[in-house]
Amino acid sequence: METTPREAAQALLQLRNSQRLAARYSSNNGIILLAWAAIHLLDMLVFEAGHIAHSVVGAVVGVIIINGSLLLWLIWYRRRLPINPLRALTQRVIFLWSWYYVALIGVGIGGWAVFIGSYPVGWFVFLGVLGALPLAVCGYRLRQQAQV
Amino acid sequence: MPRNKLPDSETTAAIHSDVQAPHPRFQLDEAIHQPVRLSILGLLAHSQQVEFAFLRDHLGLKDANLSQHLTALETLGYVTIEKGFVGKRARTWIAMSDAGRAAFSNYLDVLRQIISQSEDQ
Repeated sequence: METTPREAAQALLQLRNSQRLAARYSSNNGIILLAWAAIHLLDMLVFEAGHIAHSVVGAVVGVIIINGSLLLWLIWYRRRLPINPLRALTQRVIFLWSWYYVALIGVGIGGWAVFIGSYPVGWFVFLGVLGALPLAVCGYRLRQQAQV
Repeated sequence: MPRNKLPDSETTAAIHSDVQAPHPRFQLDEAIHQPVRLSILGLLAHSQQVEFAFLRDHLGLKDANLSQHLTALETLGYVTIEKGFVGKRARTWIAMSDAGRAAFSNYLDVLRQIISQSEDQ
């Protein structure tokens, strides 16, 4: 079988594109992380609104509806993806992020309430941005890597 | 070694074997090197499972044509084919076996050798 170095290089390039394509049509395409980041930010905006309106119940109901919708969308979206990735990067990022989230909320809400007291205006939005940022950055990077 | 002394038999054998070492292109797995199969395996290499319909649409093949390639790869033990359901929809999933991964990794090594040999020359 005759294969020139140029053909070999083309084959390797084709395979690199296949890798990107596999990422694009799997859960490693960054969309789930971007959606997760947006929902987290939205959750905190709802908490901020609840804080301003002095309505904790309203905020909790809003967050349950938003997160429930995300869950349903996730189930639907994952089912229609034609590729199961070899390495579940999205799950790994979410797992690591959940530790960061627990620490952020623990300090930012629990710690703040115990040691300082009332929350300043915009505090929940600030926590939302801090929480969403790692997910958004990872999601954006995965999205970039999945572009063919 | 004196200038005019002939090389001993061991040295001759070493030189001879070096000259006769086959070019890496002869080690390319023909079953993988075929363009459609290379595209299939390229996708499978980075996936746990790929849906049959996606492969068919992405590669622009007919069902029968893709089935032929997959059967050939399955016969070699490079892929596994699994039929299942997602909800009420029947789906066929294709996965690369361990033997397939080993063969594909070897194939990539050979491609890299071909390129590096040309760069050395």
